[in-house]
Amino acid sequence: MQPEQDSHADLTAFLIGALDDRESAAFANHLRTCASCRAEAAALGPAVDGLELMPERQDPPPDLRSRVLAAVADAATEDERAAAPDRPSEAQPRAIARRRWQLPRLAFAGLAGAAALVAAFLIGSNVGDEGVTTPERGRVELAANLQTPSGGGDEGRLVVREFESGRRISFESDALPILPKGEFYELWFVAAGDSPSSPNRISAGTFHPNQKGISDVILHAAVDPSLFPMVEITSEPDATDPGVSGPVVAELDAGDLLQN
Amino acid sequence: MAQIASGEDGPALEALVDRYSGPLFGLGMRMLNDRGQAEEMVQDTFVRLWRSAGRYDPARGSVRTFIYAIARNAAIDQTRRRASRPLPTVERLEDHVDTDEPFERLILGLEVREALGTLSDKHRETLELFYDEDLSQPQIAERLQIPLGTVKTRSHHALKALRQAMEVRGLAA
Repeated sequence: MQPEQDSHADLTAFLIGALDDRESAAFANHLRTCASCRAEAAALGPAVDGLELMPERQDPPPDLRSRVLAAVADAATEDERAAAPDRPSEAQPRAIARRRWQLPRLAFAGLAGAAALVAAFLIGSNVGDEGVTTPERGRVELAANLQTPSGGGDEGRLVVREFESGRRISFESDALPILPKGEFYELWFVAAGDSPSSPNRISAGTFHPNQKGISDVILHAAVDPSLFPMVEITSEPDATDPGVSGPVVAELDAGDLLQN
Repeated sequence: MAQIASGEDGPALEALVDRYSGPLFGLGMRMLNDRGQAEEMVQDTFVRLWRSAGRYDPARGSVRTFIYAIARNAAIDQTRRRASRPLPTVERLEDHVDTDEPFERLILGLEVREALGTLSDKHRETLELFYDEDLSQPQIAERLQIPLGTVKTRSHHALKALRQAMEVRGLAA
């Protein structure tokens, strides 16, 4: 009988497929008569299965940890700045994450056809620096609430921050309806004179709410909001149409803009 | 997660970053095939995690499941940002990640890779040479200039150590 240590070393070779056919057959015979090896094989099985699933090794950059923590800290600062000063009950860190969107969804119940939304923002002024602006943290250019055209309550919160490399647009909402598969929302920066026959707009990207109806997106665009001062969110039922293919429904809460 | 949601998130958040940033980066590479976008996806995932910590419900799943669900959505959004319109490849990606079993197996493989990284150098090297470089045990012995018996013994101990590391991570009962 093989020493137990040798048996277990061969067991691992057997489990990971390191034995040749002859050796493997011989060990399989041994396994049938050795309860100890069978127990060890059962214990090591999950590790062998896991190794079989391993993807190719990919080493993250050494500074990924610090950059992740900096990104979260940046988000905390952004949320704190975006919290409206006239809402003291929500003037706390991560107010956006905790806000309970109160607008009844009845505003959408009357929509015929596709559930389409547009939030129109007037971007007429830049936000003055309220703190130190660094290349890593950017500068808040706009923080505003989205509304439906009926002038109802909040439909979502949009923050535009300027970085050296362009703009980062963050948008959060729990009021946008979940769209059918294949349809999505699209965020546009729109300039004066825009029309269906002569569009003057730039897309910042597309998104859709998750299964819980939460939209929480970060988009990137190099567009200058002062040149494209309107922001719209449209619902796009036609994936083949590069232009706007959904109707307009919502509009800006102008009183929520931050002024210089 | 409760600490993060309550605002006392320093050590708790750092622990999650230390635990998951590696596997999330691997996930990003598998889904996006681009280092820069994978890095951005990892950052985006933790920002979203931080903002949605208050919504975590342990009755609905583990923290691990919660984090990877956020990461999956972050990767999908990353692919959308690559084009102003969703491309067929995005739809295929979404079809892929909407299927739980293949995604779960992908996650498990990434976490095992992470667990392997916690083993001693000798143990990790033995398994990596076999699985990553496709060397036989005799070839490993030649590469490392050690007896074949030593390779077999090290492999056995490495497998046991990996099993324990997987248990610590909740990857094996």
